[in-house]
Amino acid sequence: MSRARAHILLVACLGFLTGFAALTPFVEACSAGDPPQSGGRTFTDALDRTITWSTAPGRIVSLSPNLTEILFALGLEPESIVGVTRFCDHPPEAGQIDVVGGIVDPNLERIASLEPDLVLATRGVPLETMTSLERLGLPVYALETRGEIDQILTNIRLIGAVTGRRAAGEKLADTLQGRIDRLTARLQDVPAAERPRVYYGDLEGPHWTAGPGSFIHALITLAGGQNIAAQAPAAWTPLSLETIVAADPQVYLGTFDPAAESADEARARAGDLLRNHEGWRATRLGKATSPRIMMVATDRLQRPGPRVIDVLEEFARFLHPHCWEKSTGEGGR
Amino acid sequence: MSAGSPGRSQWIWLPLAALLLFAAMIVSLGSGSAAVDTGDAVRVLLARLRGAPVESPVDGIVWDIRLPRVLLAVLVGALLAVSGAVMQAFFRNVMAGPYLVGVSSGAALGAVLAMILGWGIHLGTFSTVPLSAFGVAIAVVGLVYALNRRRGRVHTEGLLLTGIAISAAISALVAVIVLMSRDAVQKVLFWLLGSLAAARWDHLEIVLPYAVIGLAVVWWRARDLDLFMWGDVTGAALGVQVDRSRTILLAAASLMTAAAVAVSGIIGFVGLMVPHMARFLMGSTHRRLLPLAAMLGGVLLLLADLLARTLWAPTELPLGAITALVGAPFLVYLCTRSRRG
Repeated sequence: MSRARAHILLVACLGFLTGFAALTPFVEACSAGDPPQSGGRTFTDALDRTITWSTAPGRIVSLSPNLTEILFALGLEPESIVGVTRFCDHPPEAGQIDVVGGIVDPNLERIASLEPDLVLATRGVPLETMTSLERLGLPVYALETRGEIDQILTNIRLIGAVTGRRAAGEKLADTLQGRIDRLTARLQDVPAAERPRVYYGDLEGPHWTAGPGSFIHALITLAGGQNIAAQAPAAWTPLSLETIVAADPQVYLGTFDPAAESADEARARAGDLLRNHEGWRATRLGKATSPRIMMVATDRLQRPGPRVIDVLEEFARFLHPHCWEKSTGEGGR
Repeated sequence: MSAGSPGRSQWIWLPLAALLLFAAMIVSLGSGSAAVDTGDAVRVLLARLRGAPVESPVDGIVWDIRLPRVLLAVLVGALLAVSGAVMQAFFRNVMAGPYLVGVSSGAALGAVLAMILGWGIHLGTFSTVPLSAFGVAIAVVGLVYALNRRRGRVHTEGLLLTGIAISAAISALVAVIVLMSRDAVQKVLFWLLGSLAAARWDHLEIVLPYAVIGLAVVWWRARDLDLFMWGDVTGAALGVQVDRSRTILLAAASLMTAAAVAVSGIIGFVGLMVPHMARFLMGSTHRRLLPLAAMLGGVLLLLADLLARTLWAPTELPLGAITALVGAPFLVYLCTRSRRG
């Protein structure tokens, strides 16, 4: 169980609750004495609340590691990001910024003392925290983190707009979309029969995996694989081992903690487990002398930010290397 | 929970329960989220018993996934039911269950420590979680016991209260550890609600020795349990070395529970409910009650696990939640019925 996945699950749970939230009174109370000046801009967030500013925010607190990554990818000066969570470890500069707590347990006092003019949150941030921040007069902008890869691009555009970097946001999202389009074009002639069945998740129970509606499901599909959890009842769900074995996956996509081991060590460990663990030994992956395993650092795969597109490209090349070989002479990327 | 005096006809429940157990095992082997039915299961079992290797995914599903799980369900159900019966007699309390003297909280602490500290510490491909859960559970019961033994005498009320106090403290500790290391929350929660999803052949190897020893000891001392029901004085008057017998039975019940919890997590209600079921059908003579309780425990846990695996397939429900949801109304029914009868 990784942090990112715990986060995603929390987001899924809290998202349901926050749907009922009627927060507008607070927002109105805050902005009542401060009518939008000429040139003021208003933004509506994922919880249908609005914030308004007349000058672009220069002191931003990010309450989620994927939002921090997006802020940096948009080229914001590190000085304008004044607070992050203890999970925000990428890019390395994020480690220099003051920590305001975790995703579900941000410290209100710490945030207030930083005097931010924008707090970026996800649905994973408890509603009470957002409400309290607003009572303190701190504008909170919440982003949707459920959904597929499109949602990541949408969030990049939204964060660009709300931080006064609309052009940078549009440009980054367009670039990423362009990379996805080129990859899709390369793989379009791969017949369904050559798209391997992929299992993403834990090898030992509970076998948490990504079903339809998750960005990892989208990643597997876009990369030219078939997610064996495509029929799963939810975006993030544990599957029974026998369902996985019956699907007989051809490729395993897993995650590892780069602080604890290298990708090669992680791959060797996964291979050992597949060969020796009862239950897996009768599957294609368990019987292969060199099973097709790709291990990705947990934060790169499970954090819905710009780096997911890098992983998408790597995974597509891993699944269909020939699609890249034959076009190298045509001046491919 | 008084039941009528056991008549000759009540012995019929033993072969009936055995038959039920066998039927439940066959049905369980032929059901699951994958499309592998009873016919496939029987075919794979027969082939495998003739020495055929595990080759196809179907073989793997029957032999490596379902069979160890079915056997483990039977074993864990039997262990929890028998320890529950021992504890109820021991404390002369209908509310007693196998987790009373700190086994479950100790096991939880052990499991959590292994899950959080034990990253990468595998013995081969074998997880350290069951071993750690077992060890800490036994240590906690030992502590509770040691605190209540004075000059060779064991204080029952003291055991009960110390057990509750230490369990509460340890549970709090577990909660803090889990919250501090968020990575493990899901894993720990799954474990605390009980599950046989990770069942493997080597789990059976862990449990089996304790099961055999524990069940044998309890059977050997079953008559003492009958005497406990009448209280210490009567027991002493009838020549039972009450404290010695108590120590032995408490140790046996704790070993059995700890072994069960180590491989399945904390599955509630089986150990509380099944002894009452068995007593209702068989009367309260332990030599008769215990075998029936063991088999009914196996049947109940098998059926609960069947529901856990199939109700919301391919996602599994927590087994402990099913046993409580199914068990609670049944226990209520049993209580009201026996009161009327």
